[in-house]
Amino acid sequence: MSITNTNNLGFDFESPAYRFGPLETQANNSLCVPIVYGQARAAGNKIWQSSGTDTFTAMICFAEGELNGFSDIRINNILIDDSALTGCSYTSYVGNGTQSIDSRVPGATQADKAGLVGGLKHTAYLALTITAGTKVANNYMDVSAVLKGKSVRIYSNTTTYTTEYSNNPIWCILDFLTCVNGCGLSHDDIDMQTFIDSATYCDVKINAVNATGTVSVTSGSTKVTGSSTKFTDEVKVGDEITINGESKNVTGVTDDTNLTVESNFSASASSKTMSVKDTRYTLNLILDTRKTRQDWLNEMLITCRGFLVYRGNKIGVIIEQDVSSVQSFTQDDIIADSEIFWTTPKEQRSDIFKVRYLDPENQYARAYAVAEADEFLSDPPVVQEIVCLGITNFKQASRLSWFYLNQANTCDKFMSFNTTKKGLDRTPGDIIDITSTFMGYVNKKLVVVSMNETQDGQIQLICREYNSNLYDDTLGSVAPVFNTVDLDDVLSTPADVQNLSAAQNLSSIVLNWQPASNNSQAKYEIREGDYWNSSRVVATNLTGSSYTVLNIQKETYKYWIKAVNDYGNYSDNAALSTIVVSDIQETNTIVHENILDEDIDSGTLVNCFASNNKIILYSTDTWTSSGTWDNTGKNYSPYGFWGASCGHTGSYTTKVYDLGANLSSIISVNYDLSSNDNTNNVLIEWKYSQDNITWSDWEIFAQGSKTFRYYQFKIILNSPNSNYVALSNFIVNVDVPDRDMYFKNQEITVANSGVAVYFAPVYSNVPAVVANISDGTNGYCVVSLKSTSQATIKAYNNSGTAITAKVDIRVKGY
Amino acid sequence: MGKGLTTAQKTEVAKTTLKTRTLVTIQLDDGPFRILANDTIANIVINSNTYYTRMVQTSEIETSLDGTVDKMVVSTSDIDQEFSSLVANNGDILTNRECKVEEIIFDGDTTTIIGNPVLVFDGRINKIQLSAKSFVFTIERILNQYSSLSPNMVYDVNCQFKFKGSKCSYSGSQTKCDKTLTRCKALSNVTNFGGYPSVVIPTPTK
Repeated sequence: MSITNTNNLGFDFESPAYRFGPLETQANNSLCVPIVYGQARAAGNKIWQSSGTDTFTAMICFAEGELNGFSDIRINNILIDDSALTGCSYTSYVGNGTQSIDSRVPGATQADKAGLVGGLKHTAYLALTITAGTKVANNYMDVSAVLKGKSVRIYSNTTTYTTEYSNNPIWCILDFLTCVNGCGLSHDDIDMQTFIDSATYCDVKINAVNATGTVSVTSGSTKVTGSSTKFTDEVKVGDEITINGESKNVTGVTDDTNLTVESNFSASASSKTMSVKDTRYTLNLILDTRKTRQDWLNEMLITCRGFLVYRGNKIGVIIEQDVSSVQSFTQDDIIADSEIFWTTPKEQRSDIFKVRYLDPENQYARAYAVAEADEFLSDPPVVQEIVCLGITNFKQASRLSWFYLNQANTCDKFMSFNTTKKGLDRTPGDIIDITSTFMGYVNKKLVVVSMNETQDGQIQLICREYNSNLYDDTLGSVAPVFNTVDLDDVLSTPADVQNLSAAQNLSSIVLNWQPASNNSQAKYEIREGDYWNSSRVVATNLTGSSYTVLNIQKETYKYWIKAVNDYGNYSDNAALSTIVVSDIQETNTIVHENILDEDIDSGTLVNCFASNNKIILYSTDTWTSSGTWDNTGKNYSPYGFWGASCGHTGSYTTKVYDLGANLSSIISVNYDLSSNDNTNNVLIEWKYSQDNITWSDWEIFAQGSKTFRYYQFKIILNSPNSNYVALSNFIVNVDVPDRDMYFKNQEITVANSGVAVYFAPVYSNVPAVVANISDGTNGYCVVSLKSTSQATIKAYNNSGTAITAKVDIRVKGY
Repeated sequence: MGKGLTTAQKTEVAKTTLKTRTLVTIQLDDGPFRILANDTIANIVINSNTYYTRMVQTSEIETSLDGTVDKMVVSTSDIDQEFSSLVANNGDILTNRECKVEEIIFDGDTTTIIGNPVLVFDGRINKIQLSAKSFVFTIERILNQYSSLSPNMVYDVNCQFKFKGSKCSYSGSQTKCDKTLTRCKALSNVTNFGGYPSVVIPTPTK
């Protein structure tokens, strides 16, 4: 066996960055000089330190150059510019090939210094001066930093490229394949077009979501200022944000309310919603332990679902996508009896798929993005897991977990078959379609996962089922939550609602309030009446902080509001706002009627009786043997009637009312409820129809606009404690909004005929028509003929003679 | 993405009858050694290059998406002892030579070749075996070095740059370097030294 086949040649393979435990600065000559792609935190390797205990200097090497910079430099997890590290300083070197050795290293010349620490021209390192204190000492010093990785080639076409920082996994893979410290291949060995195509796919910004809160930007500035935003949780560098129609890439996130973008905004905007898209696939990886190149390539490829393939004598990279078939194979192309079909073994399927990634926002904790099948195939469920050290954001990990879960479960069929040289042009990764008599497939799409070109000239294609639905970047789950959470106690009684106000707006009243302070999920109930308990419910289950009451009348309203949580617990005290409506503009009230007056006997009573224009629950009192009412422990009615003890529920159904025509109307009701028990309540239902044949179902009544002609109410009285309850003054209001029509510059060409205008749709009642001469002629207009569908206008001079003229006509009515 | 067949070649391979032949090309110092796989045709000229007939057997070529190392074994007759004499006289000049296997597609049953040969496999020769009658060798993809370890550089006290390479930058007349700091100082090239002479060497655990 060759010496090169003995694994590790004595090197320590343990990764300083990815092993368990905190990052620790090493001092070890068996470690490799890392390669950094994207951004990664590392603690470096100490290659030299001066003597001294109070003040000393040190050189910490981090990676092969050339890096694009250091940031967030910490000593023992304390920022180096923190006051706790007074007297500590550093100089950073990115390893650009021309850099000098730091002046902290003793020696008169660069050669003298190099004799002590090496040339260091191609090494990224920090030179530090340390003043010992309670937080750092010469034997207690872990130096860590975030490294912005090496510049890599980014090709715009197969021959043109720029060299710059990138965390696109494809360009990083290309660099690893071709760099001296990696695979060392020539760029001539690379099928560059496949790398360009795959890199473009990785760079696509996807999954737009609206960020929390609102943002403001200023023209000519790169800053975005948020209000109630959570930038640090929801936005990261490289994301694309869109504000007021302008899309920008994020270059820095300062805190929850401040971030910067790559270029100035062209227009100012305030209180706008911001949408955020993240890059489909990125790579942030430090290669700091010696593993096989295949292992490192797999580590990078897995971040983007990529595969290396051969095309001719070149290496390409592909990422499975939803693409069309490149070749069809029919029964004529398949060598007889060569087809074999099989499915994924049960143990290789997955009920739960986990992708482990690193979360830089939470001290590079190892977090899981989990995708779970809708239905488990196994009990207990089969859990599959992969580790993606190069993924540092949840969404990317989550998309991959969803992909791998569904690929395992929905692409569980495999097929192999032999063909002739007809398969010569195929390579693994190709999408083909097959029509097979054996399985009955017709143009079924498959992915070629493996090929055998056999000695007898046949080509065996081994294929996996293809599912085009796998490639829509679905998230596997929502992001995990770290550290502490700040949830409302949904069980707690909501605080009282504050600052309820009522304001009239034409024929409506707008109610505003300040939401309950202790429960963001609380809903609100508004009632109208003299007291909360006896008031009618205007609206319930409201969210937000505003509500509009339509179709009001000229009277005094008292509105009450309470907050209520998901468990039905109301706030302790109702807030009140009173408003006097003395005038209402532009109303066409066609119905304003108390239907509990003379109509009361035309309705149907169930477990109720009607008396004095009231609907009252039936009494359940009994006549005792001693000749008196049995009123033991029972209440008397407020009006001295016997029958104080009532049934639990009863109803009154009105007759059917007819508006006379189908109208788009606003309907509302008012009523008075008499009760001496807070638990008593009333439920109003109604149904409506346009033809008195087809009716709506009985619905809980809520005032609003409907189109109907016939309507009917049902009043349901409830008394859980069997105490007196009565309802009176049930007033129905139906308002039809005005409809204005304008006919400008209508020309009268024959004076005696005038000009006719027609109304579409026709009015229900004959509308008001007003006309004026519009061409400056002295005279006046007369509406000579008017109906619900048309009007004719004539013009006269001041002598009373009909004239020709142009007239403006306004029509108003309903 | 396919192997890059032309439209005419795709049309031909889709036909029910197809005539193809295999070509093997080995790059030697004196020029390519071109073989036309066993056929009654004495030789064939493609792009001004003549391929001579030999008995050739090839193994399966397995290609997959899972990073499997690709290789194929080629066995060709050596009854004229061309290869054995080559090795006998020059040493092992065959290992690590570039070698490619191609397929040519004829136009129907004629001897007219459609387009250029289609590359089937490409790599470097390894594991040669010679006998009195045959020459057997393995062609390994250029990425066979996938099994090697990376990153290559370690924090070793000795230099790891290639002597006279771009990072070494030595341009003097010396032809050898033992990678030590002492040698680098002697070559007056210490400012480019690619080692870490002061790094701590762990004490072995006893």
